[in-house]
Amino acid sequence: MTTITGDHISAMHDAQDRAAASTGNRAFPVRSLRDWQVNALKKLARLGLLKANWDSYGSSPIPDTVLDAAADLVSAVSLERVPPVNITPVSGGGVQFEWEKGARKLVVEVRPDLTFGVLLAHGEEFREWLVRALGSADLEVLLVWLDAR
Amino acid sequence: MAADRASVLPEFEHPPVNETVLSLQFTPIPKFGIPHFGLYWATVRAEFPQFQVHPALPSVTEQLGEPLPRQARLGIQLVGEPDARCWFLDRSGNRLLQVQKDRFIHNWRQVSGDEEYPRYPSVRSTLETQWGRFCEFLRSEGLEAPHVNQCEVTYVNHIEYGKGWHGYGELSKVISGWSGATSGDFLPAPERANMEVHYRLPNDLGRLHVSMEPVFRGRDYKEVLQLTLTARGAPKSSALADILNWLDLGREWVVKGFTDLTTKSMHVIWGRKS
Repeated sequence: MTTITGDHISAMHDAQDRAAASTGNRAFPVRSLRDWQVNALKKLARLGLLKANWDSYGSSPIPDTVLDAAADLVSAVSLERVPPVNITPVSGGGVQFEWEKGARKLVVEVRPDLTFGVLLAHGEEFREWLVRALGSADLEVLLVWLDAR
Repeated sequence: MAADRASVLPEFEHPPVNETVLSLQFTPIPKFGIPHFGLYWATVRAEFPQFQVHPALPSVTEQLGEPLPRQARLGIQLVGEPDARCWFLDRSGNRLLQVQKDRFIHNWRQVSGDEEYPRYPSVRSTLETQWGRFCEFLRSEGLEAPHVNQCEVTYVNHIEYGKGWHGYGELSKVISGWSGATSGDFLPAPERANMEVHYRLPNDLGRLHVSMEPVFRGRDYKEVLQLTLTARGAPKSSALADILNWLDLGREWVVKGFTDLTTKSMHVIWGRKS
């Protein structure tokens, strides 16, 4: 199969972005973050400190890969206005984001296998999905739904 | 060669280095597939017992001829199976090897934040040893030897606030070329500042890229000034001696560049020895 890609980058212009990609430590540019995202990242950092058996049911610590995926997901959201988010660890090594506004509720779980569980609830009705990939653009669509009157 | 260069390089007792990266990029190895990651892991698992899977990095090559247009160029890529990059981590997580079909990378990084930087000779030595093993693995699998087209040396420095400076109004206390001066008296002190500078190595040997950016670091989400220096260029050949020679040159530019770009008062704080 042949695909056209933009992968061969002129290093003169994009070197820094690309260099950062080869690093093992993560850093989030301040210029791209809002307060709620900073708080979300700080909460994820605290979840990263959980020891084995943190839930007293034998759960392992939250893997870095899950925390990274969760951090990537929220740090790239570009919406100005986002309802407060509740972030909790999930037994088995996942992370859950929960937003609520009025009768609407949005739950996104980053699972240990790096798939995503999504739940939308509106009053008594709800829908659930399990998806292989969930980007920040997808999350923005869900957050806009949550915020809709 | 490393020792010769090291003898004249600035040295710091407590450098603010958070991570170093030595990367070798080569033409994609034909027939290198997903199963080879596991087979290779078996050869290094005793030292690097943990693994993670990440998306592959794109190929990056310094263009040293005529300037290119701003946008990324399109390339054609034959896709047989998904590109992947595997991380193989040591028990501490401080050292890792990254492997993909056209890259071999060795990182040293701080994880808890109190680890002392093991210094370049140690990181270089690990790269040399592990690269040799990787090449031997490719041979044993009947795969082509890698043709290295780019070498890269990256140092990521985290300069914390409150240690010699307090906010971006005092950035001139950190960055030697930053005056902070304005023509008038309208603007207040900057809240934050970013900078990107590129330098060309002599004789078309490559480039040094410098970026300065306020970041929340992933370890503790503390805001720091991240100063990243990346030297990249092509080695004379794929021979180990030429690869190491380029890495030594890249490291020299990174270290001397860092020293030039930062102020003497910060050098005192970081314990400059030479």
